[in-house]
Amino acid sequence: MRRICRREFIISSVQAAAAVSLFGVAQGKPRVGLVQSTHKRLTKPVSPEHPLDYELVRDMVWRAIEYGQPRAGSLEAKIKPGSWVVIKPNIVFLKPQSSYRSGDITDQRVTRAVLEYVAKKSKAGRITIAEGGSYRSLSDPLNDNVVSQGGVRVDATNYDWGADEFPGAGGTLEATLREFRAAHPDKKFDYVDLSYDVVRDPSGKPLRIEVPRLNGVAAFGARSEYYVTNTIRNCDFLISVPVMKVHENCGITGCFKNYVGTGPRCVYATPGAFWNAGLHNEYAVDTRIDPFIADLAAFHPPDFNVVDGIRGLQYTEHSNERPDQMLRNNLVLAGEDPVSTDAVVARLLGFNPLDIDYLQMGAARGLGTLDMNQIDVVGDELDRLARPWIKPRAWYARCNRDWVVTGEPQSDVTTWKRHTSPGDTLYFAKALGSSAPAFAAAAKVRADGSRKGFLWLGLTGKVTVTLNGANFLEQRNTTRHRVGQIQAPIELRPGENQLLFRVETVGERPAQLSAVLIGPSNSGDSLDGTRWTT
Amino acid sequence: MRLSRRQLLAGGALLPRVLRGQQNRREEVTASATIRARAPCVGVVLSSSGEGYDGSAGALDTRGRWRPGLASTQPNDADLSTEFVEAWVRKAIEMAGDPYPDLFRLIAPDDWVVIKTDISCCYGLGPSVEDGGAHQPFIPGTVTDLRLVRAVINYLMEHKRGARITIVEGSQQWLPMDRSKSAVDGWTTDWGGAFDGLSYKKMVEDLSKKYPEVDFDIADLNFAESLELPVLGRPLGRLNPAGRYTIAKVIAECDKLISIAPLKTDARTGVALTFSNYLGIAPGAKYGFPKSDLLKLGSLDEVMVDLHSYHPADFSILGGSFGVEGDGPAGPGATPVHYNVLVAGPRPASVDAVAATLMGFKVEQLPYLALAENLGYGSPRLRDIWVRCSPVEQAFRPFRKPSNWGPPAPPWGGL
Repeated sequence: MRRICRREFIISSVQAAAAVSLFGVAQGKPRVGLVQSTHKRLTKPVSPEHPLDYELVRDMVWRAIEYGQPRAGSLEAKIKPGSWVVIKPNIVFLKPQSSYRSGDITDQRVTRAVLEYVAKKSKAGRITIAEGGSYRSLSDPLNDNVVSQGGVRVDATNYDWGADEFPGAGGTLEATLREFRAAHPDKKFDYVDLSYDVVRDPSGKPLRIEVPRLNGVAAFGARSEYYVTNTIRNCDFLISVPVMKVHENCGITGCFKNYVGTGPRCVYATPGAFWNAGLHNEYAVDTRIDPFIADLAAFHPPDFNVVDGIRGLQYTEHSNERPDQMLRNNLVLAGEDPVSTDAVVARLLGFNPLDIDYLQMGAARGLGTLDMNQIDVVGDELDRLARPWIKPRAWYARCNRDWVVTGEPQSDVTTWKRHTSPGDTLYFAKALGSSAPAFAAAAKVRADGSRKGFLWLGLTGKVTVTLNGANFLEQRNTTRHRVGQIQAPIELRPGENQLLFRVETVGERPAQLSAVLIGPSNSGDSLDGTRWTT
Repeated sequence: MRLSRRQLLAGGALLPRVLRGQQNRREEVTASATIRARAPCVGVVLSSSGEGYDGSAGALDTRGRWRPGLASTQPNDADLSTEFVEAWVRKAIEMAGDPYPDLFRLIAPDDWVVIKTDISCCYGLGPSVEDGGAHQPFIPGTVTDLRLVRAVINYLMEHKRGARITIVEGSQQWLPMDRSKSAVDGWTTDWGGAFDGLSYKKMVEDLSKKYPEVDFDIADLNFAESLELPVLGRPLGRLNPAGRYTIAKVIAECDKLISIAPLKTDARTGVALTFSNYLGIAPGAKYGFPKSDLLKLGSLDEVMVDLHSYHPADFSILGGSFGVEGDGPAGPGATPVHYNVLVAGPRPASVDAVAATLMGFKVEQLPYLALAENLGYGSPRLRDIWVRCSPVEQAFRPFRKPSNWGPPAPPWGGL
């Protein structure tokens, strides 16, 4: 055996440490590449405020893809020769639409950099950019919800973004595709408007398809059959390329939320309004959209994800016209595991990943890892880049789902029935299969230490709450059931705490209860260091 | 083709919009249900805002249809009948409802709606009553016209909106009867007959009989249950780094909040409009009578915007038959202004900006409007606002400014 000198030993140790810090030790852990424009290994690091150009963005994207390499070893290794690769950006609005503002949609340079990576490095046979936005396509005979530019009707393919919106990658999408066709004649490049690509039965009628059962988990939505698109179902390899920003309903927009654009608007839009209203109306559970987000992703979970974190929106997901809404961070993320990648997105935006309902659903389906301790973030340091984005007013974390319930509140709690609510709200009569003048529900909360925060409730009826045997709150509500309507300061002791809710029916409306523990900032995030159990 | 006078005037009103459209010809969007116009809309309706024969009242909506002013009009200093007030309020709401949804579309049938009225003083209380309130004499224009409150509730009921309606106020000037030695308070006084003899107590009783399926109640925010909560987002009060205020629970718990207040000058902030109305949500039981402890948390401008953040106004109505000018917002320095005007809309900073402008103030001299804009409560710049029905120039009626008030010195993040 060759002996190594002291210098060689030190050098090899440093190299090993660098490799460990860069690529992670545990090969089993999902990896998420995180690159800011300041990253030292970029060809030309620039400040987080720099407007960037295409070369800089491409360098960031490619570096993030390298860091977030899939288990196959590389993105290109995972794409089989001759396969059909679909790149799904978020282009929900075009610039002339009043809800648009910079940071609302995926940066065109990120999409282009992913396209270029796949075109140059993989052996894909066909590369498709696919999206369904809130504007009608050029071939749609209807003329509501159409966008025009310079007097010419446009859609995602021929809208000219000009030179300023995405410096270095302006122009139209169709021009970009033409350029790639010329540069890569061995591959096919096209665009599919998912709004019109609905799967149809042999008679031509749009067809609803049952959500695939993954990891034994069936549909989360209020109904289990969805209209989906041919492209998403049939492609071989799907790359989700969202922009990261906050969202009024589900908290964050990332790899999973990007699937709302895969719901074909030709069947989900209502007359005169070209957005997926049908998804909301038919599939939301307790007003949350997370169930249909998670379900749509189950039809073809992302094979890889590249997240645009260059600019994003706080307060709400589309323009609210506030001067401080758009935040520039000059970040790009990439990873194979959509749950882990979105968990990192959540942390970057100042959310607790466990609060995001669709991530819990994705993890339950076996689509990835939600435990931050089991995720390797490679590249830049997550904690340094995470910042508290201002959350939507309506935001609240996933409510407790696991209860023991009874229609006989005086009975021994050990005899109560275990029940898991599919959504944020516990419907007593449904849970027990019978109505009663009064119900009770109990849950335990384990606290890592003494914890102060708020108990947020949604209530229909009259509630008496006890905490660890002591009266805590009495409240009555006969108006709209709204999570967070009732907010009470709460202090939990270390260890186990028992919350018991006795709910009486008031009037005609059946008794309902939602409960979530919120942190001291009262912003809708869950209380750190607590866990609901039964 | 010959054009009628009305067509000609309507076309004239269209012209600036057409010209604006030409400036943006390269990027234009066909009107659609999912694509809202950017301009916050504020309705300004004088009692004299007629159907548009003079070309000055009424408005084109986003689809180019003419929405006329009032079917019958009254001089701007006339005493107004109940029927007139009902129609007047509906017209102001209608004018504020496009391109944003009409008020009733903002409210669900099972919502809990709070109406934050201004009862800053109480008729019938003398300054000598030692009950803890800092009594100021009632003069017309210092409180919300009760008929406006009733008209808004009738409007909501006609559209079957709201399962519970709560009228709220926390005055700095008077205490509820059950806590004072007085025989009257802001809830029970009939204002000497000033508002059709209405009192809030009687109004709620009448409404409960008329609409038995809806719960009507009154909450005195000075003594109602309260809780300390952090301000959502970024607190403004410079002396309140924790960003926490004690507020009445009803404000946190209600689904929708409608603010209704008169036009008033204020010796401290220049004007007392929608945002000033929110000083009432801070309980006197915590902050005193008057609520001077609030000033330990920041400037009045900062504090009232912070308080507004707890439940931003879903809709705001300003004006009525009377306002006050001079050293307001209460007597003895304030004097009444008899001027029938309503200013209404869903963006409170825009509504306040229009109201302040027609009172003769420059919006850039009102620091709280810049703070409110930064928090997203609407643009105070008139060029960004679509004023509908009567133009600001027509409704312009300068109010005498407070004697010691002047535009504050920078820096305050002016417009």
